[in-house]
Amino acid sequence: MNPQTNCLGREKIFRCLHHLLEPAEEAAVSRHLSQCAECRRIGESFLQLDAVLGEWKGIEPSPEFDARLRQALAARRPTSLLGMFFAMPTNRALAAALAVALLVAGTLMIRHFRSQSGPNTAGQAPGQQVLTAKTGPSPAVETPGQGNLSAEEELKIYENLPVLENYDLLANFDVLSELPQESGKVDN
Amino acid sequence: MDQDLELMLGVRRGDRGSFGQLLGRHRGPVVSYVYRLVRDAALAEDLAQEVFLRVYQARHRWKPDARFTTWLYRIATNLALNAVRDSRRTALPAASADGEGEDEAARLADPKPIADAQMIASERERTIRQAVEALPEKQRAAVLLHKYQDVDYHQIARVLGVSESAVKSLLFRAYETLRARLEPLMREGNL
Repeated sequence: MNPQTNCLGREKIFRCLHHLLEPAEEAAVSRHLSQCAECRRIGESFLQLDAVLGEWKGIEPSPEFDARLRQALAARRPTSLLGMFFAMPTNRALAAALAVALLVAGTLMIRHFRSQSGPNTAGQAPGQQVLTAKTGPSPAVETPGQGNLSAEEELKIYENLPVLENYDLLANFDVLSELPQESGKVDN
Repeated sequence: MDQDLELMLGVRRGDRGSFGQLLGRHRGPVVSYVYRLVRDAALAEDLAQEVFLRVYQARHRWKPDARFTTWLYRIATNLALNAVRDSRRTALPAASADGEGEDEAARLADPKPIADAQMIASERERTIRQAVEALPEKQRAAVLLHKYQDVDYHQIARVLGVSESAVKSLLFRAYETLRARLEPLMREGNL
């Protein structure tokens, strides 16, 4: 407001005419406008501008608008059951959560089975004599097709170099695993 | 209950009739609003179609925490302003929505002055349109929503993502700029 003329500022007049003031303030400004010719002239110029702006006409939608919209809606609608299932946001979230759960479960299962499997005993030639480690002073020796052996036969086997050369097999014996490792031998 | 709110709740329930009624109520205003922003009638229709497609596709996520028109015009404003920015980036020639280029060519071809009321009105409309288009983006959107779509300033604030006091300032500055540009038309109107 101009203190010399007691007139309102242009913005206050604008806000009053466009209902941008609180009701009480709008009422006070309206009263002033009814009494002040200068402020009323400013207000009328804003109303005139409003009328000029109103000369700019919009456009009407074409007659095919609704038909085109229906076609567009049909084109975007999922056609398969799977598509319809995943169209719903809750189902998408559920599917994502299930996928994550399966991934985690699968990873845990793989780790579990890997830890369960023993050290690698592969590499034994077929037909090769197998020494099984057992607790006790005299490990039983089994050869394919034969039963338990006598002490002499057992000794012969111990003297059998091919068996003794199978370090992978020998490393599984508790007794031998406690022996210090010599350089050059296969270390399992 | 607000009629738009009631209809939108119906759309959310899957009632096609409700969507048809909403379309009937807002199809025209949305097309006009977008047209005034993008200045191309064909593009305005395409964008208006996209507005209603998005409304339909988002029906399950819609919450009645704001007026339906606020949401509708927010979508329309974003799509239209994005299209305007995209067209500026690709530097497409200004679209001739209402044949103004053709009118200009015809006028130049015909040297006889045509004192036609329709021609004068068209010229005035072009001046008004150019004055509004020259406004900064948010001022332009605020004027269009306020003047041509009858949206109140509370809603305009939510549509544009600004405060209510910012809307009031935007509108005043826009109208002052328009008043300066359109003063000749205002004087013509007084003759």
